[in-house]
Order: sequence, then structure tokens, then C-alpha cells
Amino acid sequence: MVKGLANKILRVDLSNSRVWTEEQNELFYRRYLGGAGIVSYYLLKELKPRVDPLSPENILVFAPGPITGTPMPGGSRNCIGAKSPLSGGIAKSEVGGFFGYELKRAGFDALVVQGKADHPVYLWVHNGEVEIKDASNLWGQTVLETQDAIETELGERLVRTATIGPAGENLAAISCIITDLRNAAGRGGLGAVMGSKNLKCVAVKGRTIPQAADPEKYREMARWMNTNYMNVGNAASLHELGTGTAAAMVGGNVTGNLPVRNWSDGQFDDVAMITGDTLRDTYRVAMEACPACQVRCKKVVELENESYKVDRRNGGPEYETLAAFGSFMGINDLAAICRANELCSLYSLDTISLGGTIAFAMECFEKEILTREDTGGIALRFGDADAMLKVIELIAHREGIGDILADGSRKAAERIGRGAEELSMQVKGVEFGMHEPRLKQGLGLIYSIAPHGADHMTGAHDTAFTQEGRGMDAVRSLGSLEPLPANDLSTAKVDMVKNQHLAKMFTDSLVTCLFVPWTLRQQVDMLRALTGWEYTDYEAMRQGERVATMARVFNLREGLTAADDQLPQRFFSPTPRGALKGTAIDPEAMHRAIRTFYTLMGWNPITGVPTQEKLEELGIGWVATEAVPA
Amino acid sequence: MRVTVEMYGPLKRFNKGGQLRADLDIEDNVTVRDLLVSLGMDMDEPWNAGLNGTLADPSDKLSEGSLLIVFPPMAGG
Repeated sequence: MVKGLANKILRVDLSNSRVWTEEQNELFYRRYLGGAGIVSYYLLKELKPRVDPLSPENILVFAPGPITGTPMPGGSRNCIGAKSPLSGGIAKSEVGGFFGYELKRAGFDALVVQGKADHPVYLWVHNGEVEIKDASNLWGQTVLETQDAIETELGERLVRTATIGPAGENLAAISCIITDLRNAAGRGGLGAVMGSKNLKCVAVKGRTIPQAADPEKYREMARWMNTNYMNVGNAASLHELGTGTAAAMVGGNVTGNLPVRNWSDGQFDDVAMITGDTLRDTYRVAMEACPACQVRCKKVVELENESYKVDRRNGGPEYETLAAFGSFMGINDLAAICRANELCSLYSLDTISLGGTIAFAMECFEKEILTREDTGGIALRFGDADAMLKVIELIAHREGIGDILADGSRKAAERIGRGAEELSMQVKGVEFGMHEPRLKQGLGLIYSIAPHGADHMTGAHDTAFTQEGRGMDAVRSLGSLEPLPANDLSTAKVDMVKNQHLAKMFTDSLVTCLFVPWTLRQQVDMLRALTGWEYTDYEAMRQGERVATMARVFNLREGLTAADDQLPQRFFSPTPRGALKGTAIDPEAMHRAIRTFYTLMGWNPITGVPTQEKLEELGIGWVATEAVPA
Repeated sequence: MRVTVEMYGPLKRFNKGGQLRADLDIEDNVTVRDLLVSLGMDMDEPWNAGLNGTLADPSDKLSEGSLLIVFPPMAGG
């Protein structure tokens, strides 16, 4: 028994309504920890190679981490993973709110769902027990309607849920899973995997608080963060404004970080209209917290005017959403952005991939690759908020042009043809986070290599490491001692990027929130206090390396290759105006950086295949299969 | 001459009256660095600036009607 953990994993096979629990030994937990580590383990161990992601064979893993469910700030999160219908490789996405916290308190370190129910169902997990319940009457309902109906049926309040809306039911590859009405496990199409299993919702309630090996030390760490968070890292700004501050967005417009019109432009003149500061002064009515967290970074918006009505229960837009539905589509209407964000909560759509896909379609329309005939009469132009909202409805319900766009820009471009492929801005089929890789070129490297596609949360943001300050303080302990230019792709930069990637993979296994400013050392200390293990920073980095390598092997097994570690051609040309006018990524430098990354990871420098020695060094020799080409 | 200065995030405290946006009367030929030093900004604190919509160098000169935006280097969202 490991202290602080539930020491039980809940298994459900929906094909035959079988439910059982699994007990893993201490070595398992020390090697895979939780979150992204446990997701990678089950996908490699139990998923047959090359299955259709939307077939009953796919496995859907809900994995909190060791600290989840404990009263530690940043310890509410859980990782959800499966084989991705968007990329064909691994999907993993971390999400906040109360769901993971409650799942752990219900007595489980993870929930692994396989098979497919013969009719819509939901799971009711409470205090060590699980029931499979009929959800036929919930199918077709929004996430909010489902929440209300389930609480009424169960006769319970504050039931914590992971739910899909119509987009997940309709198997949209850009759909997500929504927890507690307004938090998204956004990336990789996880909502479609849930929909393919006829699983509408997982509802949980639990009361068992995990007990730390050293409870006094554990409480002291929580107290320290609750006392000091306003003076550490970026938490004061997150507390006041959440993400998407005017400093970040107006500043991003000046430096070139802000994405504009499907990455085809470099400047958005109306940026001040769509920032978190403007939101505070208009539609924001509250800031909300995840359990045990004082940072309270989550915006709540409410509005009712002649055009739009937005219910505060559906949350508010983060930076990624403000940019995706704002500058990235050339839209300056903050009310419409709030409404679009609400639709994504109700229908379970990933705001990033949805924003990327609609912006792609807008550029296709502007270039006459798509016409009104294709769009059902909608003039799908940059800047048109009404057109955006109409297309979101069509995508969620797979109607008209929405049926083509529901599977993301890569598949849409394949179906549209006529040069649309060049306008599809994604890596491995997964649209980009809202950060410009021509500015942050080390992030461009991670966009290329990250196993779950063009994800902005799993690598270094170069602009934090160009001068002395808070950013450098974080990476010095990982061996990067000197600031480097944002567009640098030297071996020193690749090393910095790689180490940040590994540290974040450890964080995603713990699963700690990236917005609560814990250092790596503090995360190690909390794991020591929780479990009693003699855990070290070295072991944490090893854990990150193990998870990154397992995800790499999974992708190779599923047929992805080094050729999939490739940015779209557009980033090798400059933007027409703005700060990056005349600036592009040098393709040769990026090519070399990718090879260097493989080398530093102990992977084959050409194919990116981890060597057998590396796998055995990490204690995962078992993941090597004949399906992975050497 | 008159210029407008916007300072964001924690840097706002250096702007006139601690305001986000302030109009300032300054001498001709003043550089971005000169102006920020005159506002008492700690030049060791990391900062970026945009002058009239484009990324500014500390040695860039302001002119009548200039809009100077000063902000901390941002990492993620």
C-alpha cells in the first residue's frame, strides 16, 4: 500500500457491463506515478496496435495523480487519455475542476473504460462502488442539461461529472470531455472516444481523503502556498485577471506572439477589445477556484443583451479561447467570443482545435476554395462573428459544412482538396495552441515533436528565457544557465526545451496545475511527504523522460513516423506585417534541432525511435514491440 | 511634446499615477530607455516595449503623439 494513494484502479468493460477493481503494486506506482504515466501504461499494455480510435477496442483512461484529491493547491487535476481520433496517436489532456479530486476521494487512482455499451449509459461512481445506468434519455442533451438531469435522478447535489454533449456523441474528432460544466480535457478528440462507447457521462462522489505519510509536512506545504502565492511566479496576475491579460495579449500583438487570421497575418489592431482586462470590465461576474486553490484563475462570465445570452454556469474564456475565437478569426466582438465559449462547454468542443478549424475554413472561403454553395450560404469571412457562431452549431450537429469541419482541419482539407491542405495549420492533425512559433522557435520544436500534437502546454515558451528573471530562475536548476534568444535553435536551446518538456511530463503525472507556481523541487517534496518515498529531482526528470518515451513508442506503434514531426510550411515564411515581418523559421535549423532533440533523448537521430537500451534504462523494455520499426 | 504611455501587469506601478494609460509631456529626442528611467522604472526588471504598434528598441526615439506600450515578457497563456 502506498500512502496517499487509493491503491485501486477501477475497470469497466461497457461491452458486457463488467466492473472490477485492480490492485497494482508499489513498483507500478513508483514507475508510472499517475496521470499521464498511467494513461501511457494502459494504452501500451492493453490496447491492441492500430485499432480504430472510435471502435470498442479503444481504451479511455481517467487518471488523477498522486496529489489529486488531497487539500494541496493545484492538486485537483486529472489526466484523460486514449488513442486519438484526431492524430491517430496518443491523446492526453489535463483538466481541472472537481471531477478528478472527487474520483480519487471515491477510492480510485484511475478509471479505465473499455468496450462499447449497446445503448447510451452513464457511470455513477460513489465511495468505492460503480453502477452503469441508462442514459438513453440524456443522449442529445447538452452538458448543462445532462448535469441537471443526473443530479435530479440521483437525488444528489454537487455530483461531479465528466460529460460529453452532442459534438462528442456525433464523434467529432475535435470534441472534448467537459468536467463540472466548464472545464475541458480539450485536446485530441477525447469526446468522440467517449461518444463511440455510448458513454454520456461519468458522475462521481467521494468522501475518503487520502492520508499523507507525513501529514504535518504536507499541510505545511499547502499552507505555505496559500500564504505566499501572490508573491510567487505569475499567480497574482492569474488571481486578478486569469489568463489572457492585456499585458499578454496587447504585448503579444507587439512582439508577434498573438496568432492572427490562421497564422496568415502578424497584427490584430483590435486586440485591446478582447483581453481579460476588458472582460473584467464588461461581462466577467466572478473568478472561481478549483478545490483547495487560492489562485482562483477561472473566469465566470454572464451576459444578456439583444444578441447573446450566456449562462454563468458555463464558465468563461481562457487566453487560448479569447485568441482562437478572437484574433485568430479576426473577430473583435467579445460578447460573441463569450457565447462561442459557452457553446463549446454545452456541446463539448475543444476551443483550440475548433478555433483553428474555423479559421482554416475562413481562409479557404477568402481564397474561394470554399464558396457559399459549400457553406450553405454562410459568408464565412474573417471577422464575421455571426458566421463563426452558425458554423459552431453546424459542427456540433454535423450538419452541412459542419460535417466536413467536425474532424479538424487536416481531414477537412483532405476532403475539400483544391489547395486547402496548405491552409491546414496543425501537427499530427492537432491544431496549434495560440502562440507563434516564428517568435518562440523552441516552442516550435516542441509543437513539432510533442506526442499529442501542437500543444503549447508541454514545452518551453522561449520569451521567458531571453533575459534574467523568473523564467531563468526556473530553468537554471535544470542546467540551463544562460538566457538564449527566442529564435535560437542551438543545442543549448534544444537541451532547455527538452528538459522543460520532461519536467512538464512529470508534472502531468503528479498531476499538478501549471498555474499554481510550484517549483520542480517543491513538487518532489510534496510527493515525498505524501508517499514517504525518498523521491528526488533526478527521479522526477526520469519519470518525465519515461512518459515522453512511452508516448513516442505508442505513436510509432500506431504508424506515426519522424515525418509527422513537421511544422506546416507557412511557418517557414514571414508574416506580411507586424513584429515578425521578415522573420521566419529556418527549415534547416529546425531540421537540425529535431535531430538533436532525438539524440539528446536517446532516440535514433534519424527515425526518432527510442533505442532498446534507452527503454531498458527507463525500466520500460517491455514496451518494445515488433510493430515499432527500428 | 506629448506622448501616451501604457504600462501593463506589475509594471503599471511605474506609470504616472500608477495608471495603465497616461499622457506625458516630455522633451524632444527622448529615447524609450530615457523615458522609462525618468519614470523610475527598475531597469533590471524584465520588460518589453512596443512603439506605435511595433516592437521597440530601448534606443528608439519617441515623437509627438507616440504610443509607447510597456509590458512584462510573457510566457504562456
